[in-house]
Amino acid sequence: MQEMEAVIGLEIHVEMNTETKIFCGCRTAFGAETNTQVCPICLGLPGHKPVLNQKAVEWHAKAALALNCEIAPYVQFDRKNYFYADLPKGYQISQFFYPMGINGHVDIEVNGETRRIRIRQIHLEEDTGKLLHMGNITASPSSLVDFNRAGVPLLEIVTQPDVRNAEEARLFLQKLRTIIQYTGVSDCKMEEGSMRCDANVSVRPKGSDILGQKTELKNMNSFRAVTRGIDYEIPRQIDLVLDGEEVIPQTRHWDEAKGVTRAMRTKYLATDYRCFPDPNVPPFKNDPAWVEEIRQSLPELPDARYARLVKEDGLPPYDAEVITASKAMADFYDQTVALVKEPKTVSNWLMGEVGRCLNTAGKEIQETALTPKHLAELLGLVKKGVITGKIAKDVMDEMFRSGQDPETIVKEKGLVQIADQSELDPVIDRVIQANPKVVEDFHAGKDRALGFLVGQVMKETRGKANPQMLNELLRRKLQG
Amino acid sequence: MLNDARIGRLHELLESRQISAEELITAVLERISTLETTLNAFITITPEQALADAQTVDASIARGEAIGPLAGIPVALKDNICTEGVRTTCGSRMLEHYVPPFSAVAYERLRQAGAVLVGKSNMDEFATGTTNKNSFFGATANPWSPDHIPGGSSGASAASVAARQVCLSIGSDAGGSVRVPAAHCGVVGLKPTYGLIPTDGLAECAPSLEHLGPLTLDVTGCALALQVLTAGEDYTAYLGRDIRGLRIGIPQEYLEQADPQVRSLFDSAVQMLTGLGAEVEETSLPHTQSAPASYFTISAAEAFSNLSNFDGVRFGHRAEARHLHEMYRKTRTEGFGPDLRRRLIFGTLALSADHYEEYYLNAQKIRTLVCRDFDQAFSKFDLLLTPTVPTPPPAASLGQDELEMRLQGRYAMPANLAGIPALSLPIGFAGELPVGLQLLAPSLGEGTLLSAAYALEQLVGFYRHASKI
Amino acid sequence: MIGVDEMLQAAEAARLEIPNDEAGGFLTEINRMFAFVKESCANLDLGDVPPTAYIQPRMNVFRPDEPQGSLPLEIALANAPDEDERCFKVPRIMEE
Repeated sequence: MQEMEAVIGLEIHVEMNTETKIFCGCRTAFGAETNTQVCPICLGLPGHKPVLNQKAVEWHAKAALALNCEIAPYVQFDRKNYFYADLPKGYQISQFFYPMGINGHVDIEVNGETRRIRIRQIHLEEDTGKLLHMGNITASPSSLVDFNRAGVPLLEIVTQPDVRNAEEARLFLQKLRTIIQYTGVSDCKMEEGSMRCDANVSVRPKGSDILGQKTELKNMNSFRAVTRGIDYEIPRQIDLVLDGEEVIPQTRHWDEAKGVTRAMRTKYLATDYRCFPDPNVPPFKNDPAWVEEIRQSLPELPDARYARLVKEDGLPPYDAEVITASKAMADFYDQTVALVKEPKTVSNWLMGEVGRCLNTAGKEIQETALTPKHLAELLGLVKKGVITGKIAKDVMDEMFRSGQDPETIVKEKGLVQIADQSELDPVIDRVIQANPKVVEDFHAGKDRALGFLVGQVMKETRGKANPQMLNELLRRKLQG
Repeated sequence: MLNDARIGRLHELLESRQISAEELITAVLERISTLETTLNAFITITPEQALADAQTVDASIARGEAIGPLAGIPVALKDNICTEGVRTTCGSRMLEHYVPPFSAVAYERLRQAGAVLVGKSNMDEFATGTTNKNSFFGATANPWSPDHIPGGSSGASAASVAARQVCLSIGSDAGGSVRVPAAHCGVVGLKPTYGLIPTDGLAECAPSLEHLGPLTLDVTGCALALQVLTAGEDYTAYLGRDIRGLRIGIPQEYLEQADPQVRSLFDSAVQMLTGLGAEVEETSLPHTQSAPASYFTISAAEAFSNLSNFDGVRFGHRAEARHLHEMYRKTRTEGFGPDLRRRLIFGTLALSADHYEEYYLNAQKIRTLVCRDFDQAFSKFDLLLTPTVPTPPPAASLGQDELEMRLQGRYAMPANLAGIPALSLPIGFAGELPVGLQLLAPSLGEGTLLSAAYALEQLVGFYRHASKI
Repeated sequence: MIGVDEMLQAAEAARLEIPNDEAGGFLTEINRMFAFVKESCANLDLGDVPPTAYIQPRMNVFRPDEPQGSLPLEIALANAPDEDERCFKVPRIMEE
């Protein structure tokens, strides 16, 4: 049987974090009351005149440079004409003929090998409004439109068809998201729609240069949906081809609930967008000095940071990868290491206890009350033996909740480690007396018996006993 | 009071308190109501607001405050210029009940200057037409002869100035829409340099070609209005200058289709200019004949896209329909008149993948050639002089041939393609009907344009004639 | 020359209908216009001429990323042909 491979190109839309929309002064805040962030320009009222947001252009350049693109010297906005209820003007303003970012790439690690996914272009355009259906789109007798989102600056990132499977798509998207988050241009939240991904999927005999008929997958609203959607679509197409049937070029919606892709009705979808230069928006030229300025303003990007953490801080690659996956986490790491100078300890804590707290709370590190200074102080308390590692975990929980500094917490809750033999002796004696059977077991050579007794002492001291001292004293008493 | 309704004169009367703004506005409103049955120059009249605004100006004069030259002056705005709180229809059923939530920048500037809006002028639907017959609100007549068209698309803007219903009106000009009616109605019409008057708030069809411009009885009024509309320099400073030595070119291509009566009036104007010491010389703009094709294609293509916001969702007419797609089609078919729909379809075709290069792109290339023609001509000349329109105003009963009618604007269109300033000045009569000539200057050459027009006006004195009705 | 079908497709793309009694006249006028444009280009060598899309010398026109205020909801919806729940309301999207 002929071996088949998939050819996948991705189109990613990323909403920018600008204060205002791309062509008007309306705010872009997420979750505002419907139709309260609209004006004649973004509603497309007669006589409106768009004026380009400078920040959107700067950030466009920033994102493009971070994704290794060239910045075109001349950029023009064009109109892409089609009708839809969420599109106020009957056209979308986009960079069709002269996009600003071209020929970029992102490298991903797949099974220990580096794969380069080329980026054909990154252009700037305006987002559409949002349709709210009563029930679902098919059954709803009418729909409501909220234009708050219309005109939010949107980056469209178009890859070359370099992706081969769902896993590569996921890795690429995660890397892309990390890079863009690093630049601060977008928060890239798929669940809030500030990052969206469509995939053009086709299949062909492995090794062939010919591209098969492609379908465009839409409505994949999470990383998981992207992988599931592609994982569904590839075998669907392969089965068709192997059965001698044709893949119909069409737009297919990912149905998350049913786990299938489904063809959209195509009758009224525009096939010819009649793009032409938008006479309302003057084009612009990019000064090389300005481009250089933007390049200089870029932060250290994930790949460089990863390399530094491995090389200079001596972190294991896995740690470096986890830490650098989020700029906020990596910044937190750097700031903590600057205070305690023990990279591996900091990394252990961030990936261990801090990670656990974050998971439980469902938050990103920048959304919590935790600060690098407090974490550094906590690690200092452990190092100095003021508290035990076990207690430190409880203190961490409290720091997370309240944002209080660890010393106050330790003091107020009386969590200081007991490393004073005179304090521990009576407790140990009590435990030995109360558990004759276990003591017997110990003498019979059962190691677990010692552990049980340690546990009992810890329980009585509420975890504050210095573990080393306790072990030593207990052993001495039992053997003595 | 309105026999001589030049802005400068009325300003003097207001300033010297010989008349009050309220008296002036009252007189104008009376004249409007008397003439409307014949002219139909207004879609909306705003008497209450106008009288209130006039009283504000009077109060200011009574306090002894200095007033600007447009304070208390009655103004009409073409009905594609958005006025907050005042219906703005574009002459279309589509916007029959549309009240914009914001005002055009040009209107804001006029208001700031104390000008008093008395109404919104009739127009060809969405400024597509050269006759002013193409309005959902009925045709406008030519005040010199009601059986003739006033020109278009700002036909009513020109007619209401000629008929002294207002002293100033603001029209829009994408392919001659200010200058053609100015010529047909015997008033001064200026299309300034592209972008000089902001078009924010102009519900336009073809943004790359569109301009706002004033229509007035005389050149002085034009200069006064231009200063306010551009928030710029004092253009009256250019008036009364000696034009000796001014180099004026006459492009021969602009005379080829000219009617003999137009030609002879044009020739006499050339003699006057020569008499004033200007150096008048023949020249050639070889791509003139191709300009209309470029204009027709670009304007239709842009209109197709620019009017796509009329979809019945956020404003304007909406037709009853079972689903969204049907709602779009029915809304737009009911809301737009046949001429406009035909142009939109032509524009849709010109931009479609199959025709893009041959039509839209070639039109843009012709545009380049037209611009180059002007660049070359202005390396030798300060101004160019042409008839504004090839013929006197046609009879209203004529004009069934659309292409022919649209070619009435053929002398006006090149200036829109190139964005250069152009002014139409009335120079005399063909029978009882006015004829205009057009002066063209390089970009931002409004000063030269006005100074030559003023010099000629001193000899012609057309504003002394009163329109028949 | 374009045919009736092509004209109807374009009308569809522009979301316009052409009533039967208008169709013949529309086609004639549109084809006249096409012929006129074609004729106007016929004697020109346009091959190397760059197209002009923008006549103004103005480039790099930007505004700062500063909020300028939006319309109050009731004003935003004032001209809406239909509204509900603080939104613009449109008929069903799907046709059946």
